[in-house]
Amino acid sequence: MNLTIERTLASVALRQFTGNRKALWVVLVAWLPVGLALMVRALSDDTYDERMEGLLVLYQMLVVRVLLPLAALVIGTSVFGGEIEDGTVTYVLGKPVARWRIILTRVVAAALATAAVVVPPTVATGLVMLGRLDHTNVVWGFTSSVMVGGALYCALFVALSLRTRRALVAGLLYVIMWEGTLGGLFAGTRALSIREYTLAMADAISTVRGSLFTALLPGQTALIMGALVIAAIAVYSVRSLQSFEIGEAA
Amino acid sequence: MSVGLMESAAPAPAPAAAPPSEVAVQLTNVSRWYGNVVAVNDITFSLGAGITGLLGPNGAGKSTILHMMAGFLAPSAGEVRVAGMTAWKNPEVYRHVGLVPEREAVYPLLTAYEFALMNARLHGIADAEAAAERAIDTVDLRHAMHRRIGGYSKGMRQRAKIAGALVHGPRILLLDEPFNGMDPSQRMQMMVLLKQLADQGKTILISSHILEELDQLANNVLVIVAGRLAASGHFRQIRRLMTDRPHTFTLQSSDDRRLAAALMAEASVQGLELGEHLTVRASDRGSFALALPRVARAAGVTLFELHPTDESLESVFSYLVKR
Repeated sequence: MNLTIERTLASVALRQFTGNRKALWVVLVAWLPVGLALMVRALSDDTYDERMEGLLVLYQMLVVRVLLPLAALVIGTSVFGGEIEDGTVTYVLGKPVARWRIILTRVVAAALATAAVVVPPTVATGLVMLGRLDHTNVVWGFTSSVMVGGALYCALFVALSLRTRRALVAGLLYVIMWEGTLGGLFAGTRALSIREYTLAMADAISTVRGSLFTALLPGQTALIMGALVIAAIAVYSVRSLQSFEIGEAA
Repeated sequence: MSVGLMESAAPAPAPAAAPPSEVAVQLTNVSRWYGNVVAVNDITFSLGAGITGLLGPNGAGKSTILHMMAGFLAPSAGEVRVAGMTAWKNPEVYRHVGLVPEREAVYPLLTAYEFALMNARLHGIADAEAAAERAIDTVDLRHAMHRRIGGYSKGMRQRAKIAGALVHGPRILLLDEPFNGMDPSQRMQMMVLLKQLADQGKTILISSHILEELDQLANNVLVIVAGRLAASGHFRQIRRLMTDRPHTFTLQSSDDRRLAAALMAEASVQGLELGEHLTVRASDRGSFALALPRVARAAGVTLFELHPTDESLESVFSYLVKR
């Protein structure tokens, strides 16, 4: 199978991201939990269970709630956003390439870049806190769920960047208002929350005691809703790109 | 393309029918509006092989027309067909179209070679490397092909963009201000290149505000004023159709004063001015052309030079914009 077009589309998108100064900040901030884990280990004599509790707090409160959406937001909105902003998107769209291929390639590139930014510090945080890979699959569960959640976030933020030049603000509103504030107030909104899908997947993979960590959304619901959401985002993104007009996303 | 001069209130006439193989681009009653603002109003024209200049003041609708041809804007009404296909929502059109957008930005982190290669690969060209090198050579950028575009001068960026547009050998080229930032020798070289491409049978549409270049380059012009097609065809033919404007000539003769006095009696002469040269304003170009040698002979004056002064593209454009 010849993937020259996909490789070309992805490499241009990744160059856009790596040439972006925001990228450096995202990479640096992603290592914050590792720094905190090192501090905890250096300054306290916690038992294994206490360290596991601390790790779950770092994963849930910092990695899943802040770093994952932040990295996906910066990366996801930059794979088209920069090109739309400066007009170079015409060099990609002015080609005989099906729009779904462009979208799929760009989302996969963004998801891989997000994983490359978030996964190493996620694993490193686990290793620092627990001293080894745990038998309860917490590190593995959160690492894999962060990869999947990152892909979902990227798909959403790529779709937003095709509709508005304020995709960064729109994405922040989704993360802070919808997932944060409304997700805490109304249980129904959690069914449309990538954060809750991520936590549900981590919960389904890990075998840690319920008192330490239980996701708010059942794993099955998260799987079904996640699949429906990604399908809806895919259709929306392809249609947006098919009818994309120069100067439209103003 | 037929020659025509459109009344500003009248709809543009339907284009002369042409065999499908000759018509590369066809706009039929195309309009585009943004809310209440009409950017392009009921425009009809067709383009065949050769170079056509797209002219108009700023905000006239030139870029909107180019974007509709390039499939980057949907017409609000009418139809835009390129290479026999609907341009909107049809990526297959790009197999036949090379586009040089007006916006200066080109991926600054790529080299010109990488940019041409990217375009070649996205077009699915089998030997993309060779195609990219050929395109780079065509625009004479080999000496800088491995330098990042971000460090290029404006003229070099333009050439890199043109290399990207030519890499797949399109039969239709849409160029928005292609001479921007080029120095005189680069412009001359680009004009030679465009003429060669036109001679090969390619259809080239150039939107430019540099009338001097289009004057030498374009076989035909499309003049857009306030979203409407004000005129189309060769600019000298357009000028001849503008009967409401006197034609101006400068003359040099053995006795300008005597010739001026003799010409005053001619019905086709509207006005005269004696200065370094004799300037004549004639209401009817044909009658004046017939009368002048007769009058000069009768007055015993020898004619040395005769120049039409308002048949340049610039003066035709200026007349059309003021209409």
